[in-house]
Amino acid sequence: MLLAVVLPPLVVLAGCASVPQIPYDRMTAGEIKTIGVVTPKFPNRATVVLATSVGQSFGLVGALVDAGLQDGRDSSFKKMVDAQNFVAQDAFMQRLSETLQSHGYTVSNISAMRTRDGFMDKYPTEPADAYLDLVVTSYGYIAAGVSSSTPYRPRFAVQVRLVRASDSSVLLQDVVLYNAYTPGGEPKAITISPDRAYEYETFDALESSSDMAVVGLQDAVYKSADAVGNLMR
Amino acid sequence: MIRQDIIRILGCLALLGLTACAMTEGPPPVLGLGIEGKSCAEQPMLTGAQELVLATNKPITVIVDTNTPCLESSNGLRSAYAVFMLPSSSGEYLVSVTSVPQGQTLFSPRVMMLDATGGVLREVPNDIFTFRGSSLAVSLRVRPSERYLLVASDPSTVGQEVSRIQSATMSTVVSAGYVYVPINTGSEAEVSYIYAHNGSITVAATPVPKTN
Repeated sequence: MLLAVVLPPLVVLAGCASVPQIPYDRMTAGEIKTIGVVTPKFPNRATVVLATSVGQSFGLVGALVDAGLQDGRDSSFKKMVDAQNFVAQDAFMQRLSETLQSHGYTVSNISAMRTRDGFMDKYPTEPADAYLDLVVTSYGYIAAGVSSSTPYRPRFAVQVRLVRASDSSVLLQDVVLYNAYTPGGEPKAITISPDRAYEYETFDALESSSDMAVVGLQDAVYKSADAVGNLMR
Repeated sequence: MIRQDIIRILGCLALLGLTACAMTEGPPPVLGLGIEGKSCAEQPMLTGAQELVLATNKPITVIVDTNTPCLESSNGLRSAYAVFMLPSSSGEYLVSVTSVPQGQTLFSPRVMMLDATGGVLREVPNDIFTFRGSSLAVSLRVRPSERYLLVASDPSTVGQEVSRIQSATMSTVVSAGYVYVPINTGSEAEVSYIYAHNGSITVAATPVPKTN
């Protein structure tokens, strides 16, 4: 006898849990004119994730098979990205800098070595009114499942914290998710809906449209950077 | 026995999950407030303000409909509105405004912070709101002189439609004898909302969260 029980949607790729939202108020934040953008935490490479797969039903063996397939997709996508000289971190930083400048800030990049996964616990003492601390938890492409109705779409997830230099007060804290996957419930993060122009039914289809696929990732990066910058307007 | 308990618990969870995920029926979007015989005030009535409590779990939800009071600006544009009295506090705190969709209807919000006499201290336009999940939301730090929060519909965006892609994954546990196998599947839907003068808004006053 087979007995099927439907569970509530599971949190599969949260990645951004437990970052309470703290809004920025430019008027009461003090004289914040110069923002030092600290070298962000960024994944080593983009990932191309299949959120649900057959392998997930078969324990360790299934997980190993999935890991192999995942690595193959990631490696292939890296070649596509490299072939177009697209560096997501540079694109993100450049776009964010432009957005912040459009809101009247002077922006400087501050080099920092990151020794932990989350926000930094101490900031470099370089001249800035506030430090912008960014933790990119994932980027690349993701598909909810294997069917044609759940295509691969770009995604980007970043945690944001702005800290006043003079007293280390947290002026802003939030999370931005482009193409959010938080099936366990309504995400509290800012969620940007993906653009239908960049969707691929299969990874093969994505590979065969490599130019557009990288443009799609760039679009996710830019829209996420805009959303981060707009938190400080 | 244990197996039956597990199945019973999973069944209850399934029911809760599906209930939460179901796309609820909503009222039709109200796209105009030019209702015959209904007059709109030039200034908001503060006497009917609902009192917000500063706490992590004391939100107030208001259903805005054609019976809700309305404002009329000097150029004749009308807005439905609700007013909330902000809590007195010596410390800094936050106030959040969330417009939750009812079916396809999504209240198009804008916010004004008022002083004790109803004077407008600052306006928060509609484009400051961002989607958080399926809801439109904004969170603000309350400034010392602000006493009332006014949430009004934004006539400049009412009638506009917005589409969003929402993804989900489901896990189905299949039992064969004493073996349970999870079957995971993904799904996706494009949801369209229409900005309207009516809908559901939730307002809360909360302490500033602690950070690590």
